[in-house]
Amino acid sequence: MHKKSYIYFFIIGTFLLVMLLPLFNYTVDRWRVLHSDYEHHYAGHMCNKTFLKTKYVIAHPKAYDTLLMGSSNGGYMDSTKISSHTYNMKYNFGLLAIHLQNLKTMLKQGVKIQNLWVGINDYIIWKDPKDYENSFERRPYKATILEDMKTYIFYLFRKPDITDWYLWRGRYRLVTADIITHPHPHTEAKKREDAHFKIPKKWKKHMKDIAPSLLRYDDTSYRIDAAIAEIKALKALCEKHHIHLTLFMYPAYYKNYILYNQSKIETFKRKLASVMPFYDFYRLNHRAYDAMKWQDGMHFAYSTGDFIINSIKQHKALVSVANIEAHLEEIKYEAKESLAHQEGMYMFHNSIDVPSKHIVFDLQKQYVYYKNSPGFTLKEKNATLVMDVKTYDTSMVLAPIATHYQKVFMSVDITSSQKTLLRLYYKDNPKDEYHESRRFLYRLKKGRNSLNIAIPSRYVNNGLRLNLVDDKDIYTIHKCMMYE
Amino acid sequence: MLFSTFVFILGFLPVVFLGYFILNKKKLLIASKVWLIFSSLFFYSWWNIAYLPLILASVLFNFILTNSMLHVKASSVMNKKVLLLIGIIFNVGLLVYFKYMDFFISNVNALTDSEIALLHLALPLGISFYTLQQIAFIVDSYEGLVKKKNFLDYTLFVVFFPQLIAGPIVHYKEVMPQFESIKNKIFNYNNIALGMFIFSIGLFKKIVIADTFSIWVHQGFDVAYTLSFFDAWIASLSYTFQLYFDFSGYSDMAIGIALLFNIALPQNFNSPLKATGMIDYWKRWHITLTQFITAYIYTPIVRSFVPLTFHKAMFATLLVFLISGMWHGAGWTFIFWGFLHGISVVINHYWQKKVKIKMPQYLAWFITFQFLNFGNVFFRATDFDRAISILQSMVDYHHILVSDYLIRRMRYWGYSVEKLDGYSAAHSFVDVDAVLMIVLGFIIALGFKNSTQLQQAFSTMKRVSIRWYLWSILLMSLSFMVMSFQTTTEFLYFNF
Repeated sequence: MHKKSYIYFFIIGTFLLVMLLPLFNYTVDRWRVLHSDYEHHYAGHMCNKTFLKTKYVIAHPKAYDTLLMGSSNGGYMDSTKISSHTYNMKYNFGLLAIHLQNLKTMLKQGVKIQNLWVGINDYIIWKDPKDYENSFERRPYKATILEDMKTYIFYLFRKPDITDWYLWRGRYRLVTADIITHPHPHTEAKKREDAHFKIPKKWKKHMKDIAPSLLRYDDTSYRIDAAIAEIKALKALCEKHHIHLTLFMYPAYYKNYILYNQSKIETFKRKLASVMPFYDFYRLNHRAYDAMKWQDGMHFAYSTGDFIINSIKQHKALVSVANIEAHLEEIKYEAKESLAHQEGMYMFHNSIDVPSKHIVFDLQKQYVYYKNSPGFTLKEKNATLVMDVKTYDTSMVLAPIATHYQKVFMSVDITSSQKTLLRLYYKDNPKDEYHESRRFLYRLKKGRNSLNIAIPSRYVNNGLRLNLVDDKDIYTIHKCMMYE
Repeated sequence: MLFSTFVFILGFLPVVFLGYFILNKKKLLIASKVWLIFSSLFFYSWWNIAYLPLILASVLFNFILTNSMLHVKASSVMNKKVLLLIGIIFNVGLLVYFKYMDFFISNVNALTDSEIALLHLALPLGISFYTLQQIAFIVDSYEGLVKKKNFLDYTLFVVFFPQLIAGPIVHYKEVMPQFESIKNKIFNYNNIALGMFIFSIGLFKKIVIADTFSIWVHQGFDVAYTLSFFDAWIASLSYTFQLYFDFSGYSDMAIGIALLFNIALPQNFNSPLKATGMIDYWKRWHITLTQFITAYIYTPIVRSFVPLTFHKAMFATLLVFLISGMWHGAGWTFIFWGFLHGISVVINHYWQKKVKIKMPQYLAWFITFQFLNFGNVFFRATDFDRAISILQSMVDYHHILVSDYLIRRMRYWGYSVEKLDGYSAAHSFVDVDAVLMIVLGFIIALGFKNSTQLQQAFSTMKRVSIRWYLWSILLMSLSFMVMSFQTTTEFLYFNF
């Protein structure tokens, strides 16, 4: 072709080829957003529930009198027990800010409701809603032309991956589902849970313990004031539209609870109580410890869902500005008592009070025994210890200590310039060898790391081996001590 | 504004292009130049308008200075020399102040145990390039190579947006006659077609190749102390390819854009990764910089050595490579990188002059490539400790890890991977994607014709074949697709 024709055909050809990308994405429509498909989703793949549910309610503006908003935990609450015309807006990793946005959109589009139940997770005070703008599974619905356009561009011009190829080739079927049209607990799922919870008691202790699920928790930046502002905005919106608002805090599994900064959560609760009364199920009571009441580290069982609904209906667990201080004191006491008697080895956050402070080991005072170890040296500098690691072997064998209580608590505060591993080896019998199968492992991040470990006394009595770090470098140890 | 963004390709470029030729068609020749100057300054200010006064002041000062040179009497050599010195001191001083001040202060602090506060000056974009271009212009004016000029032409020569930020470094006598030529004032379909073709190659190099490699470069160099054997190799090779495809991609795009305006910019790369020696490499890599250094630094140094000997010439070579290293960045790793390249070029000269043994081509290529790859670790690492740690990992074949994801993939594909169980880690990025991309990098860099060869072949064609057409739209559309879902990164040479 002539060069002049080449120029025109270059532009046209490029345009046509580029258009293959949106065409492919539209055809596959992994999150069912582009087709606004309320009735199908790919088997084994999540659709964008928050987008579709909001759009669905807008399409049925007078069908519901109550909305239940919250995270995936809301899926274990039977919304029909709130009222027969309740729609469950829950979506995975749900955030109040997004629900607030959805509510605004729905009300603007003429949706009429009388009651609103909102469940809050602890992560409301650290998870930034902005992250959701770029999440295909959670991008919210906004009913304006510009936002609609942005949303379509977002989904049409996304990078396809191998899963899209499989979907396109029909490897995963598009199945009919009612998760958008009737988002109530499915009978089958409830039956499975009932069968699970009928396991004889003697088997229970053999069940594998549930691992914590921290969802990339980072104990550095919090958004308490932003969360409170969202709640204030939600309250104002509800008042404006004469909607009765019920706010409650979901319970947490104890392994999650003790790893989070409880002083921050306490601050949040205190501020929340000053805004409006709420129902608080977030505490270290028997429900938090009982593995049989948890599906996994994040999600409670249906029975807990029923318990929450009943408690709210009977106005139990209501916290307001009048009783918040007494309530928080009670929670603290409950945590302190229960932790000391909890079995096993586990980590907990600095903000959680433990019963005793009698020091049984302090590396700062005993470092001379380890200062010239084969793999590293320890030197005292400005009330800290400098650990210069020359090889990968950083073992410190701690002599057996005779303790008198059920639990010993270890506190480590260390600064590292790189990511590395802390390992704590323990023995069931004094004559056993240390082994990889009996060790506690913690990933130290770059920067300052502060961690607490609750250790059963028998391990301390048998002698521990501590590998504070796992890589060659220079570290600063601010604290390494044990107390009972 | 980056060349590899929609706002540039679909917004800025068509507007400037149409505006320029419409004004030319209406015979508003000065207005068309003014249009290009304003467009270029707008392009430059897009990043940070705060940089604009500096470049304008620099252009104005250099124009006044060189204009004074033209008006100095021919007999007054001393005055001309003084003006030349003032010009060089001004331009180098500007560069030193903005680029090297903090480096000097931190070294003084380290040597004298003092605590002089760092200035934390932001490096004005393109200062390293437009400073060199203007120094070359001053020297050319001093030597009488520039006969006439006006402020508009001079400003356009410095700020013409395709080459403003990162070259190719051009000479006044190369570019301005092209702007003056009447036949270049009209639409030239051959040049437009060629420009689009070269631009599509450059865009593909940047968006699809270089930006993909940048992922492993970041992953590797950010955790320099904990890299395993394969991770270190993937990180270093990725950087070598990223650097080449990023910068040559930028140069291709600059050449392609300039061609739309009927301006031919000089070639900047000639398949440098095919080099079979370090002398050969520097004839192929960043050619316009090598030409500048040779003409304006190396030659004056060598001329000052009387009598000139081979050893003195080698000393001068080493010296200009140290300067070249420093020009690339204010840090000891850059100076060391320059030193390494200088030493290797000197060794290459000795080999050619004294040893005189011809090495097999493949061996010569292998040694050259490995040297470049190892040297680039110093070029990219933020300090010596990290660079050395990466190099140690590259030879520590006992410490082998592959990514968890690879193990899972292999298991999914039905391979028995029990033997690899102890060698997997979540932080490792040894995966099929990285290895395939590196293989692809080698194939493209070594097995294909380079942009200049393709440009020559394309320009000699009377008609464009379907094969060439399909390739060009494929490269362009793939780049556009990737641009639509991936944030493009800045060009590496913007930091130098």
